[in-house]
Amino acid sequence: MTNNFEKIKFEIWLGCEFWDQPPVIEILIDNELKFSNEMKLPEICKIEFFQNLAFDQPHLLEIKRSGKSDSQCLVSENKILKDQVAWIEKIVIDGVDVQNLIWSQSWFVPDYPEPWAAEQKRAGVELEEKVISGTIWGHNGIWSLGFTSPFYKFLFDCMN
Amino acid sequence: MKKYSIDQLTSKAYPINDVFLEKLKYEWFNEPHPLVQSDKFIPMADDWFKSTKLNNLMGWKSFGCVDVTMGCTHFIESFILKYGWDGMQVLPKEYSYYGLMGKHGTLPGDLLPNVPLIISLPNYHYSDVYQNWESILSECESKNIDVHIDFAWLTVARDIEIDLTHPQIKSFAMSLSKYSLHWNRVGLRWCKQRTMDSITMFNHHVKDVNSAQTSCGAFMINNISRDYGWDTYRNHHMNICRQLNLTPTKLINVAHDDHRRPVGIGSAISI
Repeated sequence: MTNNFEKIKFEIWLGCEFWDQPPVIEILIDNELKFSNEMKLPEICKIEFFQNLAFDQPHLLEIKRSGKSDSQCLVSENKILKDQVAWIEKIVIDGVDVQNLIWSQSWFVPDYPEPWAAEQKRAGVELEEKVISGTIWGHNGIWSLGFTSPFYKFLFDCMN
Repeated sequence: MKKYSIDQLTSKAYPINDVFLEKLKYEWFNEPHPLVQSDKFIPMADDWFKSTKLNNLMGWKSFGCVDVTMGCTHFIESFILKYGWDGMQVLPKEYSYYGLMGKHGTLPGDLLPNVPLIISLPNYHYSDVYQNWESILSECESKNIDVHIDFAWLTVARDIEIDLTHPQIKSFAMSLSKYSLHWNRVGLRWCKQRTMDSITMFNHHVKDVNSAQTSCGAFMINNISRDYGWDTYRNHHMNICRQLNLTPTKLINVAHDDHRRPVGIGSAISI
Protein backbone atom coordinates (compact mmCIF):
# COMPACT_ATOMS: atom_id res chain seq x y z
CA MET A 1 0.00 0.00 0.00
CA THR A 2 1.48 3.33 -1.01
CA ASN A 3 0.05 6.67 -0.01
CA ASN A 4 -0.47 9.35 -2.62
CA PHE A 5 0.93 11.96 -0.28
CA GLU A 6 3.84 12.35 2.09
CA LYS A 7 4.22 14.03 5.45
CA ILE A 8 7.25 16.28 5.27
CA LYS A 9 9.04 18.15 8.03
CA PHE A 10 10.09 21.74 7.39
CA GLU A 11 12.72 23.46 9.54
CA ILE A 12 13.34 27.14 8.89
CA TRP A 13 15.92 29.34 10.59
CA LEU A 14 15.44 33.09 10.22
CA GLY A 15 17.57 35.98 11.39
CA CYS A 16 16.85 39.67 11.82
CA GLU A 17 18.22 43.04 12.87
CA PHE A 18 16.13 45.97 14.05
CA TRP A 19 16.38 48.88 16.42
CA ASP A 20 12.72 49.77 16.97
CA GLN A 21 9.97 47.56 15.58
CA PRO A 22 10.62 43.89 14.74
CA PRO A 23 9.94 42.36 11.34
CA VAL A 24 6.78 40.26 11.14
CA ILE A 25 6.93 36.86 9.50
CA GLU A 26 4.21 34.66 8.11
CA ILE A 27 5.01 31.24 6.63
CA LEU A 28 2.59 29.51 4.28
CA ILE A 29 2.56 26.32 2.29
CA ASP A 30 0.09 26.18 -0.56
CA ASN A 31 -1.67 29.16 1.03
CA GLU A 32 -2.05 27.38 4.38
CA LEU A 33 -0.69 29.51 7.22
CA LYS A 34 1.88 27.56 9.27
CA PHE A 35 3.45 30.35 11.33
CA SER A 36 2.82 34.02 12.07
CA ASN A 37 4.70 36.15 14.55
CA GLU A 38 7.03 39.04 15.20
CA MET A 39 10.71 38.20 15.14
CA LYS A 40 12.82 38.52 18.28
CA LEU A 41 16.39 39.48 19.03
CA PRO A 42 19.11 38.41 19.32
CA GLU A 43 18.83 34.72 18.57
CA ILE A 44 18.18 33.05 15.24
CA CYS A 45 14.56 31.96 15.23
CA LYS A 46 13.83 28.33 14.30
CA ILE A 47 10.37 27.40 13.08
CA GLU A 48 9.41 23.81 12.38
CA PHE A 49 6.24 22.13 11.23
CA PHE A 50 4.95 19.20 9.21
CA GLN A 51 2.87 19.35 6.08
CA ASN A 52 1.09 16.68 4.07
CA LEU A 53 2.00 17.10 0.41
CA ALA A 54 0.06 15.47 -2.40
CA PHE A 55 2.26 13.64 -4.90
CA ASP A 56 2.77 14.97 -8.41
CA GLN A 57 1.43 18.41 -7.55
CA PRO A 58 3.23 21.76 -7.54
CA HIS A 59 3.71 23.15 -4.03
CA LEU A 60 4.76 26.59 -2.85
CA LEU A 61 6.56 27.58 0.33
CA GLU A 62 6.15 31.29 0.99
CA ILE A 63 7.60 33.57 3.65
CA LYS A 64 5.85 36.91 3.91
CA ARG A 65 8.02 39.55 5.51
CA SER A 66 6.24 42.68 6.74
CA GLY A 67 6.39 45.18 9.57
CA LYS A 68 8.73 47.64 7.97
CA SER A 69 7.55 51.23 7.62
CA ASP A 70 9.57 54.23 6.46
CA SER A 71 10.31 55.12 10.06
CA GLN A 72 12.31 51.90 10.56
CA CYS A 73 15.07 52.99 8.19
CA LEU A 74 17.01 56.04 9.34
CA VAL A 75 19.13 57.66 6.64
CA SER A 76 21.51 60.58 6.93
CA GLU A 77 23.60 61.94 4.07
CA ASN A 78 22.72 58.90 1.94
CA LYS A 79 23.95 56.54 4.60
CA ILE A 80 21.72 54.09 6.45
CA LEU A 81 22.20 54.67 10.15
CA LYS A 82 19.57 52.30 11.51
CA ASP A 83 17.52 49.72 9.70
CA GLN A 84 15.24 46.73 9.97
CA VAL A 85 16.37 43.63 8.01
CA ALA A 86 15.30 39.97 8.01
CA TRP A 87 16.93 37.01 6.30
CA ILE A 88 16.87 33.28 5.79
CA GLU A 89 19.64 31.61 7.74
CA LYS A 90 18.89 28.03 6.66
CA ILE A 91 16.04 25.82 5.47
CA VAL A 92 15.93 22.06 5.94
CA ILE A 93 13.19 20.07 4.20
CA ASP A 94 12.80 16.36 4.96
CA GLY A 95 16.22 16.37 6.62
CA VAL A 96 17.96 17.99 3.65
CA ASP A 97 19.59 21.43 3.85
CA VAL A 98 18.20 22.99 0.67
CA GLN A 99 20.72 25.81 0.29
CA ASN A 100 21.39 24.87 -3.34
CA LEU A 101 17.66 24.89 -4.11
CA ILE A 102 17.29 28.31 -2.51
CA TRP A 103 19.99 29.67 -4.76
CA SER A 104 18.52 28.21 -7.92
CA GLN A 105 14.77 27.88 -7.33
CA SER A 106 13.63 30.65 -5.00
CA TRP A 107 12.70 34.27 -5.53
CA PHE A 108 11.72 37.33 -3.53
CA VAL A 109 9.12 39.84 -4.69
CA PRO A 110 9.79 43.08 -2.79
CA ASP A 111 7.03 45.46 -1.86
CA TYR A 112 8.89 48.71 -2.41
CA PRO A 113 7.69 51.65 -0.32
CA GLU A 114 6.34 54.80 -1.88
CA PRO A 115 7.30 57.46 -2.61
CA TRP A 116 10.79 55.96 -2.46
CA ALA A 117 10.14 53.59 -5.39
CA ALA A 118 8.82 56.41 -7.59
CA GLU A 119 11.83 58.53 -6.72
CA GLN A 120 14.15 55.71 -7.73
CA LYS A 121 12.33 55.33 -11.02
CA ARG A 122 12.61 59.04 -11.75
CA ALA A 123 16.31 58.86 -10.97
CA GLY A 124 16.67 56.08 -13.55
CA VAL A 125 17.17 53.27 -11.05
CA GLU A 126 15.36 50.14 -12.18
CA LEU A 127 14.08 48.22 -9.20
CA GLU A 128 13.87 44.46 -9.65
CA GLU A 129 10.34 43.10 -9.51
CA LYS A 130 11.57 39.62 -8.71
CA VAL A 131 14.91 39.00 -7.02
CA ILE A 132 16.11 35.49 -7.84
CA SER A 133 17.39 33.71 -4.72
CA GLY A 134 16.91 36.88 -2.67
CA THR A 135 17.20 35.77 0.94
CA ILE A 136 18.13 39.03 2.69
CA TRP A 137 15.08 41.21 2.96
CA GLY A 138 15.54 44.92 3.44
CA HIS A 139 12.04 45.56 2.13
CA ASN A 140 8.72 43.97 2.91
CA GLY A 141 7.75 41.33 0.39
CA ILE A 142 7.19 37.65 -0.28
CA TRP A 143 9.89 35.03 -0.68
CA SER A 144 8.83 31.86 -2.51
CA LEU A 145 10.19 28.40 -3.21
CA GLY A 146 8.33 26.16 -5.63
CA PHE A 147 8.74 22.39 -5.47
CA THR A 148 6.93 19.14 -6.16
CA SER A 149 6.32 15.94 -4.24
CA PRO A 150 7.65 13.26 -3.60
CA PHE A 151 10.34 15.58 -2.35
CA TYR A 152 13.22 13.16 -2.96
CA LYS A 153 12.21 13.01 -6.65
CA PHE A 154 12.15 16.79 -6.83
CA LEU A 155 15.71 16.84 -5.48
CA PHE A 156 16.80 14.43 -8.20
CA ASP A 157 15.06 16.51 -10.86
CA CYS A 158 16.86 19.63 -9.67
CA MET A 159 20.22 17.88 -9.94
CA ASN A 160 19.77 17.16 -13.64
CA MET B 1 23.30 -39.13 15.92
CA LYS B 2 26.19 -36.75 15.37
CA LYS B 3 28.41 -36.27 18.43
CA TYR B 4 29.42 -32.75 19.32
CA SER B 5 32.25 -31.45 21.47
CA ILE B 6 32.72 -28.22 23.33
CA ASP B 7 35.65 -27.38 21.02
CA GLN B 8 33.18 -26.89 18.17
CA LEU B 9 31.49 -23.96 19.88
CA THR B 10 32.58 -20.52 18.77
CA SER B 11 32.46 -17.13 20.42
CA LYS B 12 31.36 -15.66 17.10
CA ALA B 13 28.06 -16.67 15.53
CA TYR B 14 29.24 -18.12 12.24
CA PRO B 15 26.42 -18.74 9.80
CA ILE B 16 25.27 -22.12 8.57
CA ASN B 17 27.65 -23.04 5.77
CA ASP B 18 26.94 -26.50 4.43
CA VAL B 19 27.53 -28.57 1.32
CA PHE B 20 24.29 -27.35 -0.25
CA LEU B 21 25.13 -23.65 0.18
CA GLU B 22 28.70 -24.25 -1.02
CA LYS B 23 27.32 -26.03 -4.07
CA LEU B 24 25.12 -23.05 -4.88
CA LYS B 25 28.11 -20.77 -4.59
CA TYR B 26 30.07 -23.03 -6.94
CA GLU B 27 27.19 -23.05 -9.45
CA TRP B 28 26.91 -19.30 -9.30
CA PHE B 29 30.55 -18.86 -10.24
CA ASN B 30 30.74 -21.67 -12.78
CA GLU B 31 27.47 -21.67 -14.69
CA PRO B 32 25.69 -19.05 -16.81
CA HIS B 33 22.82 -17.15 -15.15
CA PRO B 34 20.20 -14.70 -16.37
CA LEU B 35 20.51 -11.02 -15.64
CA VAL B 36 18.02 -9.98 -12.94
CA GLN B 37 17.87 -6.24 -12.41
CA SER B 38 16.39 -4.53 -9.40
CA ASP B 39 12.90 -4.05 -10.89
CA LYS B 40 12.56 -7.83 -11.13
CA PHE B 41 14.53 -8.60 -8.01
CA ILE B 42 12.47 -6.43 -5.65
CA PRO B 43 9.11 -8.24 -5.99
CA MET B 44 10.88 -11.60 -6.07
CA ALA B 45 12.81 -10.91 -2.86
CA ASP B 46 9.81 -9.22 -1.24
CA ASP B 47 7.79 -12.43 -1.72
CA TRP B 48 10.68 -14.55 -0.48
CA PHE B 49 11.18 -12.61 2.75
CA LYS B 50 7.44 -12.63 3.42
CA SER B 51 7.14 -16.35 2.83
CA THR B 52 8.48 -17.36 6.26
CA LYS B 53 6.21 -19.82 8.01
CA LEU B 54 8.17 -19.67 11.26
CA ASN B 55 7.88 -15.97 12.03
CA ASN B 56 4.96 -13.61 12.09
CA LEU B 57 5.42 -10.03 10.94
CA MET B 58 2.20 -8.07 10.79
CA GLY B 59 1.65 -4.87 8.85
CA TRP B 60 3.92 -5.18 5.82
CA LYS B 61 1.31 -3.32 3.81
CA SER B 62 2.11 -0.07 5.61
CA PHE B 63 5.57 -0.15 4.05
CA GLY B 64 4.91 0.50 0.39
CA CYS B 65 8.32 1.88 -0.55
CA VAL B 66 10.76 -0.99 -1.19
CA ASP B 67 14.35 -0.59 -2.34
CA VAL B 68 17.38 -2.82 -2.91
CA THR B 69 20.26 -2.59 -0.46
CA MET B 70 23.76 -4.00 -0.29
CA GLY B 71 22.69 -5.81 2.86
CA CYS B 72 21.67 -4.58 6.28
CA THR B 73 24.95 -2.78 6.90
CA HIS B 74 24.10 -0.58 3.91
CA PHE B 75 20.76 0.12 5.62
CA ILE B 76 22.62 1.11 8.79
CA GLU B 77 25.13 3.26 6.95
CA SER B 78 22.46 5.00 4.92
CA PHE B 79 20.62 5.73 8.17
CA ILE B 80 23.75 7.09 9.84
CA LEU B 81 24.64 9.19 6.81
CA LYS B 82 21.16 10.72 6.94
CA TYR B 83 20.99 11.48 10.65
CA GLY B 84 24.67 11.77 11.59
CA TRP B 85 26.68 9.74 14.10
CA ASP B 86 25.50 12.03 16.90
CA GLY B 87 21.99 12.30 15.52
CA MET B 88 20.96 8.67 16.10
CA GLN B 89 20.91 6.23 19.01
CA VAL B 90 21.20 2.52 19.66
CA LEU B 91 20.42 0.31 22.65
CA PRO B 92 23.09 -1.53 24.69
CA LYS B 93 24.28 -4.96 23.49
CA GLU B 94 23.75 -4.05 19.88
CA TYR B 95 25.58 -5.11 16.72
CA SER B 96 29.31 -4.69 17.44
CA TYR B 97 29.60 -2.40 14.40
CA TYR B 98 28.42 0.50 16.56
CA GLY B 99 30.57 -0.16 19.61
CA LEU B 100 33.73 -0.73 17.56
CA MET B 101 33.41 2.80 16.25
CA GLY B 102 32.62 4.28 19.63
CA LYS B 103 28.85 4.46 19.51
CA HIS B 104 27.59 3.20 22.83
CA GLY B 105 24.12 2.15 23.79
CA THR B 106 21.49 4.19 25.59
CA LEU B 107 19.46 2.31 28.18
CA PRO B 108 15.72 1.93 27.70
CA GLY B 109 14.14 4.60 29.86
CA ASP B 110 16.94 7.03 29.04
CA LEU B 111 16.36 7.28 25.29
CA LEU B 112 16.84 10.78 23.93
CA PRO B 113 13.68 12.50 22.69
CA ASN B 114 13.40 13.23 18.96
CA VAL B 115 16.55 11.22 18.13
CA PRO B 116 15.89 8.24 15.82
CA LEU B 117 16.68 4.75 17.10
CA ILE B 118 18.06 1.89 15.04
CA ILE B 119 17.56 -1.52 16.57
CA SER B 120 18.47 -5.10 15.67
CA LEU B 121 15.58 -7.57 15.84
CA PRO B 122 16.10 -10.26 16.79
CA ASN B 123 19.10 -9.18 18.79
CA TYR B 124 22.07 -11.56 18.62
CA HIS B 125 22.91 -11.24 22.31
CA TYR B 126 19.41 -12.20 23.45
CA SER B 127 18.76 -14.30 20.33
CA ASP B 128 15.26 -12.91 20.49
CA VAL B 129 13.50 -9.56 20.46
CA TYR B 130 14.15 -7.39 23.49
CA GLN B 131 12.12 -8.63 26.46
CA ASN B 132 10.79 -5.11 26.99
CA TRP B 133 10.16 -4.43 23.31
CA GLU B 134 6.65 -3.12 23.93
CA SER B 135 7.82 -0.69 26.60
CA ILE B 136 10.66 0.46 24.33
CA LEU B 137 8.09 1.23 21.65
CA SER B 138 5.92 3.06 24.18
CA GLU B 139 8.91 5.13 25.27
CA CYS B 140 9.67 5.92 21.63
CA GLU B 141 6.09 6.99 21.09
CA SER B 142 6.04 9.26 24.13
CA LYS B 143 9.41 10.80 23.20
CA ASN B 144 8.75 11.17 19.47
CA ILE B 145 11.54 8.75 18.53
CA ASP B 146 11.39 7.19 15.08
CA VAL B 147 12.32 3.49 15.04
CA HIS B 148 14.22 1.76 12.24
CA ILE B 149 14.63 -2.01 12.46
CA ASP B 150 17.60 -4.03 11.29
CA PHE B 151 16.14 -7.51 10.66
CA ALA B 152 19.48 -9.03 9.57
CA TRP B 153 19.00 -12.05 11.84
CA LEU B 154 15.41 -12.71 10.92
CA THR B 155 16.26 -15.03 8.02
CA VAL B 156 17.72 -17.55 10.50
CA ALA B 157 15.11 -16.99 13.24
CA ARG B 158 11.94 -18.73 14.37
CA ASP B 159 8.99 -17.68 16.49
CA ILE B 160 9.58 -13.96 16.11
CA GLU B 161 6.41 -11.92 16.16
CA ILE B 162 6.48 -8.20 15.41
CA ASP B 163 3.66 -5.79 14.71
CA LEU B 164 5.04 -3.39 12.13
CA THR B 165 1.96 -1.19 12.19
CA HIS B 166 3.23 0.69 15.25
CA PRO B 167 3.34 4.37 14.22
CA GLN B 168 6.92 4.89 15.42
CA ILE B 169 8.32 2.18 13.11
CA LYS B 170 9.40 4.03 9.98
CA SER B 171 11.57 1.55 8.11
CA PHE B 172 13.18 -1.87 8.29
CA ALA B 173 15.60 -4.00 6.31
CA MET B 174 16.40 -7.67 5.71
CA SER B 175 19.17 -9.39 3.82
CA LEU B 176 20.24 -12.78 2.52
CA SER B 177 23.66 -12.66 4.13
CA LYS B 178 22.95 -14.98 7.04
CA TYR B 179 22.77 -17.95 4.65
CA SER B 180 26.53 -17.69 4.09
CA LEU B 181 25.96 -15.09 1.41
CA HIS B 182 28.18 -12.48 3.00
CA TRP B 183 30.22 -12.61 -0.23
CA ASN B 184 27.24 -11.14 -2.09
CA ARG B 185 25.46 -8.81 0.29
CA VAL B 186 22.01 -7.96 -0.99
CA GLY B 187 18.68 -7.26 0.65
CA LEU B 188 15.69 -4.96 0.76
CA ARG B 189 14.66 -1.92 2.72
CA TRP B 190 11.00 -1.20 3.33
CA CYS B 191 9.82 2.23 4.44
CA LYS B 192 6.52 3.98 4.92
CA GLN B 193 7.77 7.08 3.16
CA ARG B 194 10.87 7.36 1.02
CA THR B 195 13.33 10.09 1.95
CA MET B 196 16.52 11.28 0.32
CA ASP B 197 19.35 9.09 1.55
CA SER B 198 22.03 6.75 0.25
CA ILE B 199 19.64 3.88 -0.49
CA THR B 200 17.21 6.17 -2.31
CA MET B 201 20.05 7.48 -4.46
CA PHE B 202 21.32 3.96 -5.07
CA ASN B 203 17.88 2.90 -6.31
CA HIS B 204 16.36 5.95 -7.93
CA HIS B 205 19.12 8.11 -9.28
CA VAL B 206 21.60 5.75 -10.88
CA LYS B 207 19.67 2.96 -12.60
CA ASP B 208 20.64 -0.69 -12.73
CA VAL B 209 23.53 -0.46 -10.32
CA ASN B 210 24.87 -3.72 -8.92
CA SER B 211 22.86 -5.98 -11.21
CA ALA B 212 25.46 -8.70 -10.58
CA GLN B 213 24.45 -8.53 -6.94
CA THR B 214 20.70 -8.72 -7.64
CA SER B 215 21.17 -11.47 -10.24
CA CYS B 216 23.06 -13.56 -7.71
CA GLY B 217 20.48 -12.77 -5.03
CA ALA B 218 17.71 -13.93 -7.38
CA PHE B 219 19.59 -17.16 -8.08
CA MET B 220 19.96 -17.82 -4.37
CA ILE B 221 16.34 -17.18 -3.40
CA ASN B 222 15.22 -19.39 -6.29
CA ASN B 223 17.23 -22.18 -4.70
CA ILE B 224 17.10 -21.59 -0.95
CA SER B 225 13.79 -21.88 0.86
CA ARG B 226 13.06 -18.96 3.18
CA ASP B 227 13.22 -21.02 6.39
CA TYR B 228 16.03 -23.26 5.15
CA GLY B 229 18.08 -22.97 8.33
CA TRP B 230 15.42 -24.19 10.77
CA ASP B 231 13.80 -26.57 8.28
CA THR B 232 17.16 -28.29 7.78
CA TYR B 233 18.91 -28.00 11.12
CA ARG B 234 16.21 -27.93 13.80
CA ASN B 235 17.15 -31.40 15.09
CA HIS B 236 20.85 -30.59 14.98
CA HIS B 237 20.23 -27.41 16.97
CA MET B 238 18.32 -29.35 19.63
CA ASN B 239 20.85 -32.21 19.71
CA ILE B 240 23.90 -30.02 20.23
CA CYS B 241 22.09 -28.18 23.00
CA ARG B 242 21.13 -31.46 24.68
CA GLN B 243 24.63 -32.92 24.39
CA LEU B 244 26.55 -29.82 25.54
CA ASN B 245 24.07 -28.61 28.12
CA LEU B 246 23.18 -25.48 26.16
CA THR B 247 19.85 -23.69 25.86
CA PRO B 248 18.21 -23.58 22.43
CA THR B 249 17.45 -20.10 21.09
CA LYS B 250 15.38 -18.64 18.29
CA LEU B 251 18.45 -18.30 16.04
CA ILE B 252 19.52 -21.47 14.26
CA ASN B 253 23.24 -20.82 14.67
CA VAL B 254 23.21 -19.54 18.25
CA ALA B 255 22.68 -21.30 21.59
CA HIS B 256 23.01 -19.96 25.13
CA ASP B 257 25.38 -21.28 27.76
CA ASP B 258 24.38 -21.64 31.40
CA HIS B 259 25.18 -17.96 31.98
CA ARG B 260 22.75 -17.04 29.19
CA ARG B 261 25.66 -15.93 27.01
CA PRO B 262 25.38 -16.57 23.26
CA VAL B 263 27.68 -19.19 21.72
CA GLY B 264 28.05 -19.95 18.04
CA ILE B 265 26.94 -23.39 16.87
CA GLY B 266 26.64 -22.69 13.14
CA SER B 267 29.93 -24.29 12.21
CA ALA B 268 29.28 -27.34 14.37
CA ILE B 269 25.85 -28.20 13.03
CA SER B 270 26.47 -27.48 9.33
CA ILE B 271 26.73 -30.67 7.23
